[in-house]
Amino acid sequence: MKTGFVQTLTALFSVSPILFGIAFMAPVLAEIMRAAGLATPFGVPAIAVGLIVGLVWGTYATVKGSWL
Amino acid sequence: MTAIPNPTRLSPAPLHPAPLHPAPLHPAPLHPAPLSRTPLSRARDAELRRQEFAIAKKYSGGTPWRIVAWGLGNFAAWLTLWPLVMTGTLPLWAGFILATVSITLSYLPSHEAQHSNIARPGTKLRWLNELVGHVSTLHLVFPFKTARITHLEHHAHTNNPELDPDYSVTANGWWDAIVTSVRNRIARETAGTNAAYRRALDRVGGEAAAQARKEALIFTVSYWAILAGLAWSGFALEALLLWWLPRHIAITYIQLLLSWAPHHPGVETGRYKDTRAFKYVFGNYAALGMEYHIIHHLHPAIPLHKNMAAYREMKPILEERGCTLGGL
Repeated sequence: MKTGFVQTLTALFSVSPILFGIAFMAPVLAEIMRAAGLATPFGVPAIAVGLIVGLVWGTYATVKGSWL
Repeated sequence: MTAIPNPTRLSPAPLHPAPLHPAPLHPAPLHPAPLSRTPLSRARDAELRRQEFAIAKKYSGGTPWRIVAWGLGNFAAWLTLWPLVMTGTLPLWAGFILATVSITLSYLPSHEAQHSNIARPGTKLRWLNELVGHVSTLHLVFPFKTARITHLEHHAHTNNPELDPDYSVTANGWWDAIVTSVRNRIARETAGTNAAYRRALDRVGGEAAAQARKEALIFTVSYWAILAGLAWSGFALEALLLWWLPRHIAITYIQLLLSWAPHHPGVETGRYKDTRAFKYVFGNYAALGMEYHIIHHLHPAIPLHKNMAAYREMKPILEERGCTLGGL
């Protein structure tokens, strides 16, 4: 039981940048776009843009080990 | 200090059981041998030591109630920012500034508690010491148990590249120190204080380190859950500007003033060599009291607000010892 819990946490922390990208970066970017009055391409909802950016950047950070 | 980057972030490593050797929860004992830069006779060294400790004794002890009020009040003030901003009573930009100030000020009361300067173990007010230690850095997301262990390791091994958990902020100058602090967090888990703190916990081991890891895990998960919950509930900008960004600014500033500046250039170890006094262009308050950090490293039991007075009285001794005093 404890091992399973630790394994789950380990797995989650190993992809924590992706989780950060989806769970925090996406809604923040969407809110910033709305607040700044930025138009999204092809009328895509702002949250979708945020999710794409968050997912891609988070994946990059996970793979590379650095956000930049 | 202590540096504070993102100490709560845990990679799989800290979740492993720690080796079973006792945790050194006290700073290194004072070295019996002369450690001054300048050559002193044995008799003169002993006399200076006697004078120094007599001064230190004068300023140690007592309950620093202002630090208790600071630690608990500062956290309460940060909490009140949320309803004020969410109800439109306070503009978000003002909340951002106040939150940044609050989180920047959050570390020092915890620092006093780490040294048991509010109340020693076994005394009636010990619970208050632990309360201040735990509460004051909640919004900095710096768990007290990790802070205490790693900070005492910093005292025991100041400027040791392998053993000082705060060594990662060593840099050539002010700007380099800021860039290093930010870069350490951008690089995630592979460098910087995060990794150094994990290594320190691994090294210390024992029950204390295991408890610290658990606490850090709870802090980390709670922090991200709250941020995500706020962000997906329509308060994304509030989460960003009242917590996430102020915290990163605060970490940078705290690392700059508490970890880098007092130990720069970070190349010497030893009681009278590893910490310096320095003049901060914006003054001692803006330096978070760190202009006199040399006093703290020599005598951690002197509370923060008495460091300046103790320094002034101790200055001739420190000069004779050849300490770096930065023209202060």
